[in-house]
Amino acid sequence: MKLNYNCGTREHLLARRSFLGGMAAGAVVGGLGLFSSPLAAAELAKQQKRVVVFNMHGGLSQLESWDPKPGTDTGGPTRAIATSVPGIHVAELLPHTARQMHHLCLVRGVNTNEGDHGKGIYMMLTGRKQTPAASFPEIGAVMAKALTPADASLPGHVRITPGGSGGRGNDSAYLGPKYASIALGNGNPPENTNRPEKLSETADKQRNDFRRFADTSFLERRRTAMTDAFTYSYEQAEQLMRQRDIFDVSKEPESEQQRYGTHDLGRHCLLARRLLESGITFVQVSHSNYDTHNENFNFHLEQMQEFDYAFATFVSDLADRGMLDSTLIVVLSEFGRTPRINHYYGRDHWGNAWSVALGGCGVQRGAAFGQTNANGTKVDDGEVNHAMLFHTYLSAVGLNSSHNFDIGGREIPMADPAFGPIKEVLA
Amino acid sequence: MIGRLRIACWMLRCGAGFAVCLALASHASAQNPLHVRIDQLIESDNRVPAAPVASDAEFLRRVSLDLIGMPPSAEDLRAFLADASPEKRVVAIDRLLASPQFVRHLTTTLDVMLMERRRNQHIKQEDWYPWLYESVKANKPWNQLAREILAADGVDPAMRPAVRFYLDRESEPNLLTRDTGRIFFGVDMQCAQCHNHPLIDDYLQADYFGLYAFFSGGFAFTAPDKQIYYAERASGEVTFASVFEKDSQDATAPKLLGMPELAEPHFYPGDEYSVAPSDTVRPIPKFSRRSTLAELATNGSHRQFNENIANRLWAHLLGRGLVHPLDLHHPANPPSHPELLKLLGEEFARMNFDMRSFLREIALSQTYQRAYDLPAGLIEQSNAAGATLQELQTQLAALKEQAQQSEAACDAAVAEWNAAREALKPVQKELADARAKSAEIHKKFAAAEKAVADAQAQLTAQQAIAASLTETSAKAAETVQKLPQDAELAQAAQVFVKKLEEIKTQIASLEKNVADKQAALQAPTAELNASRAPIDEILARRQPLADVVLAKQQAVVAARQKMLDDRTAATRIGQRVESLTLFTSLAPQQQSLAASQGAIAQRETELAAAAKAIEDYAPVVTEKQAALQLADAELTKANEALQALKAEETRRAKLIETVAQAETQTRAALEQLKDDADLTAAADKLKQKNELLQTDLTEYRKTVTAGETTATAAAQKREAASSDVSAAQTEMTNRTNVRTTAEQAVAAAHAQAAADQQTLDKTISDLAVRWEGQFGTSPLKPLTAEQLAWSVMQVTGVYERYLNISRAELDKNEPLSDEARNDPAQLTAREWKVEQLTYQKLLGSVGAFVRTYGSGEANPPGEFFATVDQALFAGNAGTVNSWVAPATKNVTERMISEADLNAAANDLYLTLLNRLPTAAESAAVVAYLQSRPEEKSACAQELAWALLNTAEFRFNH
Repeated sequence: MKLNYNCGTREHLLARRSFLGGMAAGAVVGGLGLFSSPLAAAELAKQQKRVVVFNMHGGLSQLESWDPKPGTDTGGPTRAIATSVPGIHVAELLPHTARQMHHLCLVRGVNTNEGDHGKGIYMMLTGRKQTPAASFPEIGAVMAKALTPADASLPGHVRITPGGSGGRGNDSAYLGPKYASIALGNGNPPENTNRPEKLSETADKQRNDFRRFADTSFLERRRTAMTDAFTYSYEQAEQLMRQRDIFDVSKEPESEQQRYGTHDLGRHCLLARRLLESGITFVQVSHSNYDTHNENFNFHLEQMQEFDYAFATFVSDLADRGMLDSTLIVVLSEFGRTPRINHYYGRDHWGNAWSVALGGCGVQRGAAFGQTNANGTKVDDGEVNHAMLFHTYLSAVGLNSSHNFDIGGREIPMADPAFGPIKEVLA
Repeated sequence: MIGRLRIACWMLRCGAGFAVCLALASHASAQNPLHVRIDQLIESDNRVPAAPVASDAEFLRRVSLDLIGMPPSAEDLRAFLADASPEKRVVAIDRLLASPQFVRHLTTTLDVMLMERRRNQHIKQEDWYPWLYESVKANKPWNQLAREILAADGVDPAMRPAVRFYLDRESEPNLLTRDTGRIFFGVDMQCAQCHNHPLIDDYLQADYFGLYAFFSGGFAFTAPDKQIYYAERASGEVTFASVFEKDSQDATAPKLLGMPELAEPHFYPGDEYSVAPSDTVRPIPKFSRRSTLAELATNGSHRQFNENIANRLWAHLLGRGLVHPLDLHHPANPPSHPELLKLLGEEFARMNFDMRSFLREIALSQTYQRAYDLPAGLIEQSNAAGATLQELQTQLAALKEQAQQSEAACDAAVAEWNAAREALKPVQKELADARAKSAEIHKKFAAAEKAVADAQAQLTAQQAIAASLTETSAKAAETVQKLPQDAELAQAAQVFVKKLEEIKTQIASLEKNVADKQAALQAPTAELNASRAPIDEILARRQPLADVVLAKQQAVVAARQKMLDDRTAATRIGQRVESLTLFTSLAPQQQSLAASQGAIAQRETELAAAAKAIEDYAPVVTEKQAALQLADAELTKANEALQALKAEETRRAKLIETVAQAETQTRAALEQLKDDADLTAAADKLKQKNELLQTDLTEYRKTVTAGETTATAAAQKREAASSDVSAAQTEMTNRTNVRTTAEQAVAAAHAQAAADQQTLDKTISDLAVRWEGQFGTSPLKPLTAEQLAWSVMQVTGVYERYLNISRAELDKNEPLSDEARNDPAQLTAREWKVEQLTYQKLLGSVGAFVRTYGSGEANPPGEFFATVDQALFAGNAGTVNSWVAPATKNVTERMISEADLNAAANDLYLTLLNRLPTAAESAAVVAYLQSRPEEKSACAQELAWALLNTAEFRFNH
């Protein structure tokens, strides 16, 4: 007798459709795959949901941002200021963001109990604990798979990286490279989107016409799902090249560029807005580096200054454009930082009581959920973890996070089935 | 050939005695080469028609891609096509197998299979790959290669690269369990880590932990010199519990799939190591589980191990495994041909795991050489398949019944085994207690032993000093004798003598210390020995019980294997039934299609008739309308005439009235001028005139009446004509309606035919997928990232160019002697070196393809994906665009200098797609080249680019 259970690894989905018929129906968790029903897809397509993640690389200090503890043994010199929501205070390093608080929702009781950079970010981006023998797709790949229309010409999963040349990420696990991130190295357009210099547009069109023609005799003999996917990738490439400007932030008016700030993060935030406006499902922006073992306060003063203005501008722009209802904003790190201040005036890795900020689509506005104790050394109320947050992101954009992906007949839970979303945070 | 035919006839006659028949066939063909037996098993088992043999051109492209990882050169292809020898395919296979590129391609395939593109950690790819390459080059048997990897510890420098499999998986036991299971045994048991596999009956938690137990003691040991080894601690049984069942605690010794638990030799506590663990020394247990794993898996008798690699090598050529996915071998996902898989596993072991010979046999088979089209004459054969279907359905019922029986038998065996384990438990407990006691005592003993060793070490150190002092002292005395006057020297000699005396005293003390410590060791030694006696006693009592457990477990293993085989057989026949059901639906679907296509003709005839009826009737309508027009005109004319008559009548009536008035007025005047003659005469004249006029009018009114009659007649005639027209129009409407209905019927018939066509196409496409899985037709195989890179370099001439560069470089730096130039062996060796150097030079270019087309680090290879970044890379990156540029006699350069454009088209297609163009393709190439005559080079490059980016190039077929 089989049990209806699941530990959440990809191998659980080994049931292939073809032999499901012969087994107890209970063996399939959650029924058919997410979009087996075209209705569901159509429903989402009506107002395509989008997600933007700000990855505060290195570990943002919750005490210098969303959960200050002024006047306590752990608070350091950071003071708290009022926000646009009476009763919610944030660190004084976020004056502009404070004025946008009515759009945001703070989650202040995060306990991931993980102090390793690699493991921490893995948990936060995949919603699962890292285990040696299994790998899970990152939030961007999951959102791209779940929210992007099948015929979209633009990639659904885009990461704006602080540097690097771009390319495809290895972050989609069993969802396959189709949903892996396309990196925009330092905000530049994707790799290989410029035609070779010597090739005119007409010549490119001609050679592609010939390519299509040359394929006909072969495809008449044998056409498969693989050959279809292959030929379609070229159509996609042509479409993407036509829309290349979407990735070019310099096409934004000069005034907009000034407004966001000319530093990297400012450009990246403006680019993120541009991409989301163009219908790209998922954008991740990174801000580096918050790993402040030394001089925590000075570093946060500098970093937060960049972030605060660019982020606040981004949030208010989305609100002004009516995009907040369809765009989920997540500000996360791999972990927070220790309440204890070390003798280099630094704070160390700390995953036991820290904060994540959400905003926009599907979440409460102007709210703070969860609470740490007086000096921030433990969660007093509303404790949540990475898996619950992951469920919450999915639920916020209208997905049923207890559903499964259907990967070639293998059923894979979208999120860790041992947990569920944070109901109090959802709108 | 005759022999094969005869066997095929047997098969047919055997009918329901299918299994028996197979046994006979395999017996009868025992002497046949493996490739013949492969074909026999596939043919007898498929029960569906197979695709014809691929053309020579298709064959050479396929076998080249599969064996050397790149397509043939145009030159090789031309020679092959021109060769009339019936043996030319065999010759080609042997030529490819002997080439350096074969070793290269197989090495790369094994590298990706074993390491899955993991990044460098403890062992570098630069060390690992050459080791693998040399192994393949020496045609090292697979089992030896696997044994070297599975037993690796990294100690022997020559074998150190082999430890990469463990070390670069972080030595993590769960990861090693999963990957060893997948890669060496073809089972991915990851989900059985926390509980019996939820979806796969046969993947048990006990199996997972049985394999895990081989790795549970393994760890990465860092030696004082920072070198890292994979080391092993002695460890006991592994305990595990299902996360879903409380109190489900169980334990297992190391256990390989399909085998009972390992009966490990017993060691007293403290006696497990030949080198005991410490921070600075790599421990060596007396019994190495991993060596045992390596030995048991690779000794040729482990079925899963043998079948896994046979399946993987099969997939290397056929594009998919008999079991597919390659790491999901279990009864619900049975091999497409279980008997064949079994045969391949056994034969590969019998061939001493010689990969080259094994691949050769597969490549020689007809199964491998099939075309990728569907077989011809499907419909006819579909009709005949009904009988086979029925036969298989009967067989399926029996097999299901049998599987149920063997499941019950397996349950019974498990119950007996569990009972035996229960009986063993009290003795096990006793043993554990005795061992725990002995272990405690061993601690004391070890401390005493260490004290002895320490004392001995101190003594030895002092003795060494004494020895060197004695020597120095003697030398000093000698020197003093030679220089007796030197006081300083004499004094120094004295110092040595004195020191020596002191040391000797210390030695005496240390000697006593050693003796004391040795004496102190006596008691713990005796105690330890005493504690071991009960262990021996319990072991002796345990043995018969353990023997029973082992026997029972062996019975379980056998029963389970039987159950698996029976289930596999049932599932597989079930799949054949599905496949045949689909196949038999083909003929009826084709009939429906024919019927609906026939209906189209019928409906179209009806439509034509309806149209004709309309056409025929049109003149009638016209005629009636003309008559109506005529009647209309006549009526108008009659009415006009009547009106004129009536007007005249009125005028005349008015005149009469005027004359009557004149008479009346004249008579009134007569009243006043009584009897005036003139007036009287006038009045009378007027009266006469009036009467005359009255008479005329009366006469005239007859004319008017006649006019009225005419007009009425005309009106009636028009009325009749009008109703004629209405009737005709109604008739026309009726006929038009008939046509509309007929038109709708035609459209419906077309729709029906299209739907039927779609159903049929879907069935055929589903059948294609199934037959691909049954190897009845050749599967399309996407080129791997590396294959794609080398293939593009091959057809664009880049590869040839770099071979020449490398050859020239070697000839310059290491010129061959005259003798070597005449020695074929040395010349061959030189070509291998040329390939090596070329590989090194082009490796970077391959990397760009691997990043774009390869699955990411630590992802299982083999999943095909086509992404937009690949198309952008192919279209816009410098790589491919620069390779199609004309250079030293490559295809684009040849095309540019070729005056005959048709010849250029032939060259293009033969080089890039390994076939000649069709007439239409040739014409299209010529037209393309002529479209911009002044840019012939650009045109040639664009054409080459286009062909490189076709599905025909992207796939091996």
